[in-house]
Amino acid sequence: MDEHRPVEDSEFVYRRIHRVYYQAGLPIPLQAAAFRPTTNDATGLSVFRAVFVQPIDILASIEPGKRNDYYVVRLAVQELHRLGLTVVAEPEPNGPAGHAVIPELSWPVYQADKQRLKVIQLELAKLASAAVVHQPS
Amino acid sequence: MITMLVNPIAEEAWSRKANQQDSLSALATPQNGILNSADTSPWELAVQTVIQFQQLGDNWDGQGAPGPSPELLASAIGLASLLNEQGVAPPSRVVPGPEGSVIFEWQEPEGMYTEIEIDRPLHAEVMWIEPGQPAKHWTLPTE
Repeated sequence: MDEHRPVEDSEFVYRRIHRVYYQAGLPIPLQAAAFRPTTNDATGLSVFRAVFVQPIDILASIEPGKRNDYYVVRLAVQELHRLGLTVVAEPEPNGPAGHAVIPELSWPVYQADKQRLKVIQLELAKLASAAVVHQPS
Repeated sequence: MITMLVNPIAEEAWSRKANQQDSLSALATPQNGILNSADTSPWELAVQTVIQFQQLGDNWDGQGAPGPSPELLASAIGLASLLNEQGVAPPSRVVPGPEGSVIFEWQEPEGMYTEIEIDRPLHAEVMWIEPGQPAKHWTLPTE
């Protein structure tokens, strides 16, 4: 399959979540900061298309000693659309297959519209809290 | 109660609290803590968590995240002390942000959600959400 082909509405994407952002027992176990972009996210927040990888595969680009610090969540692209978010294929030659980005959550866009996007990140945290597909052992 | 969070936070008071200690390491023991009665304060756990963020260092997440600076950590502890004095309940959790911030988060049973992100020394962004209401945002200090 071609990783460059556009992302379809019926697809799912994976997102890596560091363990500091998960706390069992809270009504919303995942913290919204798990969906906050960094300066590295110039074109969008990183996700991985489920049609190309298994959850564990997307941890391959994390340094080995820290891979076990990560949860992986699975989000439906349709749900992202409902939040006004899109997913754009952006394959990385040296990274796990199926890399894509959410451009509405890029670092520059987030800096320009932080208040609105913090609310959306909280909604993502609610969705993702019910969609953990891999957890640290 | 988190509703007390609407009380003003004066920059001068926050700065004084943030500068009360000679160094963050001085906060490692409850006796020297910025909270006068750290062993009984409801904020003790939150403050201890912030203190532990000193150990994060850069690239703590394996993806290049910077650790919070000592000045920012001092601000977070100073704000915790102010909120404690105002009677604000301790947060549900405290986490480091992916760009060197510190985040206090409150989740209440009735669905109210509040987040304070200390994003630079003596500056924070507040998001307050009541069920069925638009989110409210403001920054600290308020005066």
